[in-house]
Amino acid sequence: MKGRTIVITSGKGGVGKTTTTANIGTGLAMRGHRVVVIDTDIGLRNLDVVMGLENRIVYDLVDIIEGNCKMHQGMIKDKNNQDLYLIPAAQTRDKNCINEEQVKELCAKLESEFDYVLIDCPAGIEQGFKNAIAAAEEAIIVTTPEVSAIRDADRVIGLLAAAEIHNPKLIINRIRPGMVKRGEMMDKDDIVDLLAVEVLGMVPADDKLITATNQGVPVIHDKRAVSGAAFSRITARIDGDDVPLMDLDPKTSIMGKVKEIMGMNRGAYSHA
Amino acid sequence: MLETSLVKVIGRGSTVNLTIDDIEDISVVYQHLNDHLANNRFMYSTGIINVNVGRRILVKEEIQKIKEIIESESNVTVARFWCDPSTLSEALSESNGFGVDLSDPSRKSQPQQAIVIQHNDPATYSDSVSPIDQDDIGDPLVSDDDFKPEPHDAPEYLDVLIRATGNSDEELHYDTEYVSSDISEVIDEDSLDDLVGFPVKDTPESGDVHLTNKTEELIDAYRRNEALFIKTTCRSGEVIKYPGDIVVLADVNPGAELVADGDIIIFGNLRGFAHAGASGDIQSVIVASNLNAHRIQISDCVGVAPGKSKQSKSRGSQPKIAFIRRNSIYVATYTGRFAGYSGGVLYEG
Repeated sequence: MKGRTIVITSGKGGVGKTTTTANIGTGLAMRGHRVVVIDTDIGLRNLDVVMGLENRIVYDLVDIIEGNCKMHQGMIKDKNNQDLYLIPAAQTRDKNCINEEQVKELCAKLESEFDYVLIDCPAGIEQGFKNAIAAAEEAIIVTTPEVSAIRDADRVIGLLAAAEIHNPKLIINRIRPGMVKRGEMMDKDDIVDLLAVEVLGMVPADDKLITATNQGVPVIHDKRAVSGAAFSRITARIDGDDVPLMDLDPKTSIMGKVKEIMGMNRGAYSHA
Repeated sequence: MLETSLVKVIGRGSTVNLTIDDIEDISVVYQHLNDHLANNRFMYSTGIINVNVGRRILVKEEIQKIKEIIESESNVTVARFWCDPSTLSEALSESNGFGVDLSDPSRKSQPQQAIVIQHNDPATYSDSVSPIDQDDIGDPLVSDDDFKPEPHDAPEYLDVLIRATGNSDEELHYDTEYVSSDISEVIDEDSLDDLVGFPVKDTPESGDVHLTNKTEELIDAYRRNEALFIKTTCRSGEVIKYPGDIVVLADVNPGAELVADGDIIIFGNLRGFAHAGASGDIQSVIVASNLNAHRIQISDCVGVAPGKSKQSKSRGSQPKIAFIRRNSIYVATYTGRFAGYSGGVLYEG
């Protein structure tokens, strides 16, 4: 069966595309699928760092595309999972050295071998973005609850639609339930109201995620981390399981309830 | 407009359209074409020309013959052969419903021409029930002189249609599916950029125009001379320009731009930029279920929403209408009519 090619993109930089890719890739592999993750951020590679595979890189994406090595030589097997492979980006080249057709060709080959091909998209909407989305049939948009990230996500959704990738799914990253509660941060409904796309999941801001990323171990391995659990649920949803969206902060203080009743939780931000 | 009875020429800007009669026998058409070009040789010194074949279905040989005549009798090059889509669909429906042989030369030309006019002239088009049902089909007041062979007021990029490809072995197909699915091939990119899509200035490689799924809706609407209906969310970076009214059945997000020569009606939330009456019509209005845009424009007047205190209250409120009064933009609660508003909030920041 042909695998699914999913691009993980955001428009804005620094919202967690790479971390999300690493975690979803790991999660799908933990569920027993054969997964390959491709870093298309040529010149600024870091998916390998997040996955802790930096030391094993010999060949990269550009080498595979240019034919300097065989496809399998350029794929790095994950430390913890037999079914997870990484194709790292080249660090010494730039995004214009590959084109959309070459990416499509590579992904077509990978789809025949793997259940999931995850493409980590670079920030921006230039050639790197075009390369990353060229082969994808589905898209996951990562955003944070900030106006700037949402604005860029909106633009990217428009560009994806223009490229015939419809109905992208949204991951809201680094959400702070406390701030949402106090009306200092946009919540899911505000974001969905604007972007009009389906939410795949919400990942709370979590210190453990930062620690895990720095250690090169995707946080999804840590069962006790809230962000890891969130990624597990997202992975299950991608895989077709019906997992309801979780209330990120079930503890409601008495004061919060009072405020809610008094209507003091009005949004303090503006869409305009 | 110059014409012989069977060959009609319309020049518009640098484009010349030549319409050949679709009723008369093809050999008579050849003859007329030949005579016309010979008599008006001074007109055809250089350039390219489009040939409208009307309802006639041509085979490859006939296309080549016409091309040959034109190019040997004058110095112009034939760019393409085409026909008007409404003429086409009409011809198809007629041939299905009434079994009329389109290529039948004995068929009287007058009724068919009358039908064509119904479709070309917007004023009469709206009155026509159905082209086939017309009682006055043979109305003699429509003389040959009045006959407009094509909607030449329509912009050039809508002269879509059929290209006679030299490598086709078959008859020239009037395939409407082709028109809608491969529209990007037919429209030249310059005019498309004015039309819809992501503006070139935002993309580093100029000329690399992203087609949005709205292009097809737009082309269709233009062809029918109607308002442009947009059924999907207008997202950041999308610019939609339309020389008529625009109706959006979804949200207009921040960073999106709507520019209409007529009115703009938005059923969703307007958070982007809307510019009504872009060609100078100060009567134009902007109506939105939720008017949350920071800046709007009608004709040359720019309106800036008043301070935040008033803004936040408008969340989830009634529909609003923006209009021009005394050279300023006012926004009032929409009460089901398009004119005669007196109150309203002044939009000047």
